[in-house]
Amino acid sequence: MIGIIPSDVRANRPSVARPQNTVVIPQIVDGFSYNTQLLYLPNRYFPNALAQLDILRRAANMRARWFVIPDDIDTPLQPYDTLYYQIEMAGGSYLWGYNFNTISATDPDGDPVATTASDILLQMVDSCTGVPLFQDFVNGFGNSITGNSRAIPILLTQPRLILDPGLVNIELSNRTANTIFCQLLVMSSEPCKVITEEDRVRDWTLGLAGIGGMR
Amino acid sequence: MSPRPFNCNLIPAGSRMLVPRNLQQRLYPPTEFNRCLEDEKEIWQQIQRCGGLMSICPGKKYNDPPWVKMPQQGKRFSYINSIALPGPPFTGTDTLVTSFRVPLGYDGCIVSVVQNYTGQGFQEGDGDLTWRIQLNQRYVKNYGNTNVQIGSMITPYNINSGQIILLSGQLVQYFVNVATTANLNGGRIICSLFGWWWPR
Repeated sequence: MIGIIPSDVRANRPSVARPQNTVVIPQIVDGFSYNTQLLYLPNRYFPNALAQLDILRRAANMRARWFVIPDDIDTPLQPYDTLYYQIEMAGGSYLWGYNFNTISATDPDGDPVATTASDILLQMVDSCTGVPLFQDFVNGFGNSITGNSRAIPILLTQPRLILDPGLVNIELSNRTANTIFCQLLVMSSEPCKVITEEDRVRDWTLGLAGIGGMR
Repeated sequence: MSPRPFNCNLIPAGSRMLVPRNLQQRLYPPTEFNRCLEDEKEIWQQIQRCGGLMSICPGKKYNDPPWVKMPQQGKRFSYINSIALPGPPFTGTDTLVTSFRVPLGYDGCIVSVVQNYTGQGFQEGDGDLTWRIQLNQRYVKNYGNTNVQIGSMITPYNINSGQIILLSGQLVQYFVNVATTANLNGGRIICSLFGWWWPR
């Protein structure tokens, strides 16, 4: 069987592809691969979003880093209030998924009351570019995982690159009269950078030069 | 299994082969996919160096931030409304006093607010009256649960340098909530919003 490889067409270098030369990329082994409850049907969102993660999953020297907002789970969201929070990740990190849920709530009298994720509205903004993740505040219910859901976590349509200084602004807005405790989990992948002794010496030397220059 | 797993001189690479450790001892050799990520990073860094996405997006550019100084094409707005005290009996639910929707294609800012009660029996902060400003489904930070009067129609309260930013198409609503235990008598509740919007 003879065919033309599209990339060779772009390079104006027509050639033939033989089955024995077909490149087969090995399957990625990670948490997504082990989720046997997922049905990878071609017309579903999750497998298509997961496919957009393929390059990131196959790249070397990227490590997972998950942020929880607020970092103290006992931080209350006051009635009708908005919590501002900023997370700092390494420049060049990729934001690829998130998950949200409410934990508990108390009514204005301080008594426990039922709450759902729909009581909270979310927004995330890349501080570097000012581009928000959502067009406007998004209802938490559509971004929470119920016990029956198998698509954990919620994947972005494609991973979002966060440039230096790697800041992401988070806003959680309470739209009820209850005090709510909740947690947003933001999943990112940050580049590993090993700092060698030579790097430290160089930085130290530059730092000394800077101090000397200031004098 | 190797008897010395942490002292071996080979580490697995992305191509399922073992490669010698590099000098840094901890990094895997970058793959073709790392190059893809680097390319994307370079593109976005170039965009940032050129002024960011705003520099290449269509739309009006203003010399000064339009929420600080009203541009020439800006349009002022003032929404002033009042309602009679809803009760007694009081239901404890939010009652809409005034609302508007930001015109499509325009952004805006609220620079002044007024919330007053003209009847009798109201003590500032006693919880009988609670005012709320809502943008779409969320409440404006610090204006979602106020139980004191703010400003007056003669001297509206100016939100200096901290305007409430509005986006195109947003629905702005000004509510008042009269507590069920309120001890109020007659009068009207006034809610007003002043500001401007500008074309994008």
